[in-house]
Amino acid sequence: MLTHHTAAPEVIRGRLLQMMAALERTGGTPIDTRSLHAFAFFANVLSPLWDLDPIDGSILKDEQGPYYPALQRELDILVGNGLVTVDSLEQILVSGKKTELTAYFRLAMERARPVLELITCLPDESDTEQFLTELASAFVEILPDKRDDAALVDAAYSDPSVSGGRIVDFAEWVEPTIKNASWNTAQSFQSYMPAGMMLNRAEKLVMYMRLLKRRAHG
Amino acid sequence: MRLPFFEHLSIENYRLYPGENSENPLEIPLTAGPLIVLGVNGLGKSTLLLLMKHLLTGAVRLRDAGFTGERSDVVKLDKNFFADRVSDQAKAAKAKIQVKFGTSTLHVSRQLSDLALVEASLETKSQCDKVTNEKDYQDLLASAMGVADFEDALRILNRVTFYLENKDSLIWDVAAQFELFRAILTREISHDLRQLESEIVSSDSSFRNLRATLGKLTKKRDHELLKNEKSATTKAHLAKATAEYDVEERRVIDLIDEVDQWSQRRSDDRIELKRADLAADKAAQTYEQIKFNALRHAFAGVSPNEQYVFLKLISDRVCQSCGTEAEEAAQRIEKRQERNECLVCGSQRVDTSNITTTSAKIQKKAKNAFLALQDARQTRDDTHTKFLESCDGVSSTAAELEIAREKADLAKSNIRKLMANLPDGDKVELEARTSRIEGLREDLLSFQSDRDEAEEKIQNLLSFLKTATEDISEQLVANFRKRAKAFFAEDVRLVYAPRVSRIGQEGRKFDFPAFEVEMTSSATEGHFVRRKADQVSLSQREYLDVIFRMSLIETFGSAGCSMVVDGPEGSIDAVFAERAGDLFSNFSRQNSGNTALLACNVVEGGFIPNCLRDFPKYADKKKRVINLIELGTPTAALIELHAEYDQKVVTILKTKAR
Repeated sequence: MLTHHTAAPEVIRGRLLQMMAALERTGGTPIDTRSLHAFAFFANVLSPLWDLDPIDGSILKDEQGPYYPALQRELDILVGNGLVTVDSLEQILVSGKKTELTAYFRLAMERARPVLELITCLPDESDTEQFLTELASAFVEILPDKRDDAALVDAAYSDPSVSGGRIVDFAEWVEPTIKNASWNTAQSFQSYMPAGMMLNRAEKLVMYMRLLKRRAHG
Repeated sequence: MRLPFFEHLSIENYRLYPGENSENPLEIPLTAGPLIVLGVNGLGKSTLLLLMKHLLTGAVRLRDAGFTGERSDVVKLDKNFFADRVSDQAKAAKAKIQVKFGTSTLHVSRQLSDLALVEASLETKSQCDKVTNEKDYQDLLASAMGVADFEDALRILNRVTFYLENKDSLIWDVAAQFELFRAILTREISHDLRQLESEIVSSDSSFRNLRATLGKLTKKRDHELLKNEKSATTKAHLAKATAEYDVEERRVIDLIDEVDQWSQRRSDDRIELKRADLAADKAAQTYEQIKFNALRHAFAGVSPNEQYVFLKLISDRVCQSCGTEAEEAAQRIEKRQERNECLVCGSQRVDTSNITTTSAKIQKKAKNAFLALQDARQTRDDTHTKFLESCDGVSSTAAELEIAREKADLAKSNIRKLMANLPDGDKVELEARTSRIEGLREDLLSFQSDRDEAEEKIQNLLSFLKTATEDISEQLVANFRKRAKAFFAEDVRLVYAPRVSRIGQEGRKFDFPAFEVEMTSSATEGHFVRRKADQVSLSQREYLDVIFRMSLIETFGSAGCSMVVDGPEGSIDAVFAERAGDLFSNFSRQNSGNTALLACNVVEGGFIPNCLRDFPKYADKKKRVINLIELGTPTAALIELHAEYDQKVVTILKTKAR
């Protein structure tokens, strides 16, 4: 279900393929559903570092971590179209005796390649590819079972002024930079640098993701 | 911050409470646990609770919460309030209360004729401070409570400790919440915050007043010029343009309000939509998992990818490959599974060892899960429609606002053009007047600058308060949930939701710490925000406030605390009377050290028995009752029906808790 400010289904599908390709390149696949949603969340909150638009500017705060129903629907369609493959299906224990059926996804490279090549040809998408590759490289450094936790401690997601069941809005109805705590934190690393040393956007992204990794790993 | 625990009340020579066998003074020990002030109408139950409050506070009350500028927050009350209730004007009447605040004990004694302070003292382990004048006493009370000043002490007593006849709300009043959290959480800067609020309100008010004056002067200038104007046509056009401008300006103000209202609704609808969307997805996952378990054997030899596609096909009834509706295909797969056929091609499986029939239990589970899924999807669609409506509301009202602004601008520009066409003599006059107006405009900018400066300062202080509130919010929410769960049939959540608001009527907006309530609706299972008291029933309204106060006491109170409630049985039916009794019983369970002091009518039902459930023996229960039928001056009704009331009281106290 789309709000007015969620990207169109085709855009989500395109971004999903780019995310899967970035994860493939960095050894992040097969990836489970929850981790993929966590990755999508980071791609959304950190996209202003590359001056990119997020595919969703807000998310419902859920104790299990970020989850985008609209993204899941498009992912299912990509599976149906044979562009993404389900590597395995597993029942995992989520809490107590409660289990959850989870799928592990990977990119069906042969079928997806022409689509990805087409996307990359678009003038604004080569930056997206670079951004997602940087993000995926940092993301896969986090232990697979801690990726959800990393999202839970993200500066925007863990904003104490937003209660569970309410909306974390970082770019939908607010300024995607000033009101985005993740972006702000990533930017703030510059102030800790010695005089004359300028961090580039990739460095800021990696530093931010490593901070989350340390917090998630405990 | 320390909350009060009332230990003892003593009343002397006050004719409303002569005491049993005319004991004088009347001594009322207030030990931990529930205490019921019992009586019939007119016996002085509410007055007794008020007496306790005003012994502590004197003859004052707090102004309603909100940004009041330089006006004092404390307002004088009628000091003859207690005198007017008795025939001798309470000439010789005195009352004394002993209150514990942490490890200190406060003794306050007042004349009841005018609530004048007789004496007050604060005893700590090492010293005893005595005061005899009201100002010193107010400082002593603030110090006993560990708050910045007397106003803050009053706020806490008014909004947390006492919930009396006028039912001053807290959970429904975000301004009161802000003032309370300011008093409790930021003692060191509470005074500065209040001072800056005052400066902002004052500068804002001066700014707006001066602007209105300027507007009037400008209008007057234009009017006088019109009088001298030779051209009747220009005059007529100018009058028309001015009228049009006034209409459009008013319309702009109305539309700004409307846009705000629509935006609030859209914001609430967005939360509901995201929740409904997630709920529908979770319902689909639950159904898929049941199906996966049922199809495990049938899936033998099928790749995970195809299993996934089949599961999606069965639960969504839509082909994930081409996006078309696929009810028939879904049914076909379900039948193949039942007949132990290959799910992909339909061939009969040779290996019969894998034949498993779906048990009736799983079938029922699947059916229920599928129904829940359909419901969840319907709810999602409905909330989506609602959200789109409110989005349309915002955009159409915003578009109207834009048009109204354009019209207002046009009318303004028209006025300017017409002015330019005035004869030269009038222009000279116009310039002279305009110069005077410009002088005033500079003053206007100075007020605006004062306001901006104060707003800059308060922003930093407010961020301290916000952080401090966020630090306690989890505990407060958990305490609230525990009690609300036991009391309400609906699922009720307290949610931390800072409110964005201005301090002045114009100027910057700030985040103010606030909590609001979400409740399940009887029509759906979703949680809905209840932001106003009229969105819930009377009993819900009162008990949400009571539980919020209890949660605050539990969150902030370090030692035993007292809560004083007037008429807790008044708004509830028989079933909820028992729950309400349990609520107060739990709150004041003896090992908590708390006291719930409750003024009740002589009512049958479960409230009093459940409230006193920890005191099963009649004699013990009797000790928990301050029985005004015995201690008060009887009313005409009581004189006539004394025996019957006595019998009822015995019956109520002998009734066992359920």
